[in-house]
Amino acid sequence: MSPDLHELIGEEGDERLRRVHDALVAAGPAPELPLGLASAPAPPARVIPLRRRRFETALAAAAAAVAVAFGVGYLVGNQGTGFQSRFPVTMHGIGEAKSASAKIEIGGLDAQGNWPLLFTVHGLKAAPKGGWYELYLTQRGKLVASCGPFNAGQGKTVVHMNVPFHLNEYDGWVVIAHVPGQKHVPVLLTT
Amino acid sequence: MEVALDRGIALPGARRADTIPAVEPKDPTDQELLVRVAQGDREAFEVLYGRFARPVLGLALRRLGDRGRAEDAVQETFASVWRSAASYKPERGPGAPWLYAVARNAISDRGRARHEPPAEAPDEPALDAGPDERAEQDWLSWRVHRALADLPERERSLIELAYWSELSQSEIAERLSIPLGTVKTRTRSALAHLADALGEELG
Repeated sequence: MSPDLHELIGEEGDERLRRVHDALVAAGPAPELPLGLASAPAPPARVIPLRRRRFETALAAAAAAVAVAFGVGYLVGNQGTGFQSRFPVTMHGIGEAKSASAKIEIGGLDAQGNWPLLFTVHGLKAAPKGGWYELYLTQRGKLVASCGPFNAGQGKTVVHMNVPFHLNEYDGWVVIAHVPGQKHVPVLLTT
Repeated sequence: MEVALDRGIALPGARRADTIPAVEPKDPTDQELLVRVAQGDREAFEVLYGRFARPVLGLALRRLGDRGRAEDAVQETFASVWRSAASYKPERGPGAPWLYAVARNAISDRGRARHEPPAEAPDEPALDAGPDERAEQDWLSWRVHRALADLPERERSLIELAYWSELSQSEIAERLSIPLGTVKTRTRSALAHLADALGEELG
């Protein structure tokens, strides 16, 4: 039994409301979700598309021996942090943080789909009281995905981060500052 | 805007060229959610699921007529959404029709998966709606259920009670312990919101 439209909206008929009424009657109730569907299913694994690289593959094979040697040297140079970097990304300071610089070392993707990051920043002063810095992935000039907040000290700051994003879908990184009471966030470093 | 900082530290002033608004919309559109899902955003996936799970189940039940297979189709729909959200192009249109197409495909796959002998041809012409009419009705029901999911809870519950619980306005007022006048005002408001959301779908 469908309800009486006049009882619902009164005598003065509104054509739009009458159509909604008809649509509701025709649609019927949306079924209740059973317990098994009450929450979103765990997303299935997704393959991250890699760039096509015939030439790179050949080059990689030829350079394998060099890479091993480089890897050993790198770990030594990395002061024994144990972090195995696959891709380095450099960042430079802008504005009043012009003298700052940073490097993001991207490690290998783990079995759960996380990219470990080793973020090293130089020349960034401690964030103001109640504030912090944050490393963000950007897309077309917009902040899209946070890689993590951090604070900095004098000299060098090293932070381990972990992100589950498809890194090849973004176009850059920025470091922003969250300053209490400030509506806009200044960008301090960019790729 | 220049900000005075404690400890004598001066972060760069918010010069226009160096700043990005940090404000995220509180109620992202389906389009925005799909873009975020394509980037692996689990939270956006859950919001999208909350909005569309019931419409997908409704569509699957109408098409398949079997609760078990319909529930499987819901699972498959959202697995497909997660896998293929990157193929959604926001510039080509809103997210709901794209999701509807994904759901229809998943439901068709479930339909094809049944191993039942084909039904014999009926002796008399069917009085049911034809495929076009049924598709149109499916789409309208989908849109109605989707629009209902966006209503504030206090309006959605009134609509559900009024339309599908066979309760009169007075009985709804009594059940919800609110004045009859409030029930009428909210119901009208809910219908108006649905009319806004459905827009052109209402013809």
